[in-house]
Amino acid sequence: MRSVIHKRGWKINQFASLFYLTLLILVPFVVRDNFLIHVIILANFYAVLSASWDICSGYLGEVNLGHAAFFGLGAYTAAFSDQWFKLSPWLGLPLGGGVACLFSLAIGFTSLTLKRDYFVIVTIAFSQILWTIAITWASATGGEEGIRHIANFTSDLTFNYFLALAFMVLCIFVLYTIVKSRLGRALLAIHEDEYACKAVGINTSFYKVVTFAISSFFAGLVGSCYAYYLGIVTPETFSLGLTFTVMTMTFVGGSGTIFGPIIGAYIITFLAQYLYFFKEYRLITQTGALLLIVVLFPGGLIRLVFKSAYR
Amino acid sequence: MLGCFATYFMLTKANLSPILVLFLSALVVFTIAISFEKLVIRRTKTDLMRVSVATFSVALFLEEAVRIKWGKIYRTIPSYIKGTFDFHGIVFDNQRLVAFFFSVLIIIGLVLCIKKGRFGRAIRMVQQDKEMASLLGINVELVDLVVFGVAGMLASAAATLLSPLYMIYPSMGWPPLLKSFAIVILGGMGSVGGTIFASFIFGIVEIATAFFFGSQWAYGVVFLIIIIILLIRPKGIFGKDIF
Repeated sequence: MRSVIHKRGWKINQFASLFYLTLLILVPFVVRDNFLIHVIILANFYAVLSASWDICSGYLGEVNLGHAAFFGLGAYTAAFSDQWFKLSPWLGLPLGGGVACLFSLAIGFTSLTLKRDYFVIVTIAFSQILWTIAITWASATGGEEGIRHIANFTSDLTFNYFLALAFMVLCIFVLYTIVKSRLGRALLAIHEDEYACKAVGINTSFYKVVTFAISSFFAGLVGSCYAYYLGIVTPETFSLGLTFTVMTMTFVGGSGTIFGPIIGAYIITFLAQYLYFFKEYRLITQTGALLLIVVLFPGGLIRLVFKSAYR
Repeated sequence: MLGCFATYFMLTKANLSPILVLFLSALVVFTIAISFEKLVIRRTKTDLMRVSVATFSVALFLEEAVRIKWGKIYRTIPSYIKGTFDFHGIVFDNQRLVAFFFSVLIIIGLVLCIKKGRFGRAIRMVQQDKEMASLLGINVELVDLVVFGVAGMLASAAATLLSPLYMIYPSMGWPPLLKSFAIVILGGMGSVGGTIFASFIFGIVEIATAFFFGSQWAYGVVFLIIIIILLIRPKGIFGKDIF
């Protein structure tokens, strides 16, 4: 089930992603539909978010059920740095990633060295607690209302579009390089058999903590981007629903592939945004779909399409 | 959550007696839990990632289903027994006393089953070494099934006992879940005595924080306890080695 990519598979991948990228670059010149552009921007953010979940959970096999927490940390850091310290978005962006990264190090050091169950428990507790604090500590976080009127990078939609696209391509490139490097191979090996890895001298705890920190760093980056783009953060950014959306995206596309989550993110974002009248039933269909996929087709879409490239 | 809703509908719509409801709702939840184990967990058991994703998505799915069907309203149940009990100046709510005695009964039964009974021995065997257990002729699948069902049943019994004390709403399942995680981590996995001790400590700490600092920080304290315990003694106070 792991995704070891053959030489031919890499070519298919390269070709497909280049084709896709050109298509995306052409979109704002061809289409004059502002809503479509907005949806693609969101899809780009979600793509990075799901890919960053994938590197920790799909590759390493450590189930992070609190990914929304790091996304929210990034978003609130961006909001605070703008509202309290009047920092420019370009400074707030890495700050958001950094804060998420720091928290993930604290959690990783305590829980990743133990049995796998503990990590699941601690991450889900972490996100639920941040969610409660964001709602109840209303004097700082604005409570349910959230924080409004955060400065944007730019008010021009087309420029925003290219920023988001560049951000997505850059992040995916970095994540893909990491996954293809020595670190990535170590992750797959740890997922397969942790005890064997320990036996041949791989420092599994170190790799786990580092991967979790990388994954959370990207989640924080996306969070602050999201806050700067929309200009508003709400406690919803910490919610379990968001984590489940991310997981659905990853599993629809195919977990453990980096490119799969992007496809999943685009599909789910388009469905969610265009079927807005369906909003009441969104979460239930999402969790139902996730359940079916996990039980029946754990491979995901990308393994159906590129059978030769992904095992 | 399911237990509470089952209790609510049986009590208010069918007007059954509380004792009957305790058993009936436990039965309902037992059936649901067993079918869930058969349909979902059995197929995903090989991969921890798939199991945890599947179980949590079921939790969220059920919550959403209940919310859509019956709405987000906060419901209450009238208490089973009215009045208070005065013990040398300390006033107890009778309802809480009943809940306390029933839970003590259930815990004693559970401990006896696990430590002394034939089936309890099988459970401990499966927990220690699955392959060896199945070699020795223990039906591992059946043990897993029953353990899962009983876990659901106990949750439902707790729900019936506590439902007059709390509000009933779709997302009510998360705080008890987090609390039980924290308690299990504090007391150590696989130790019933440790769990009881830990829940007392935990309850006192939670109420104290709520009293001195305000109830919104009680959650933060839960998390702080988890982190501190994991840092200084990851196996819990009475737990066995978990590395």
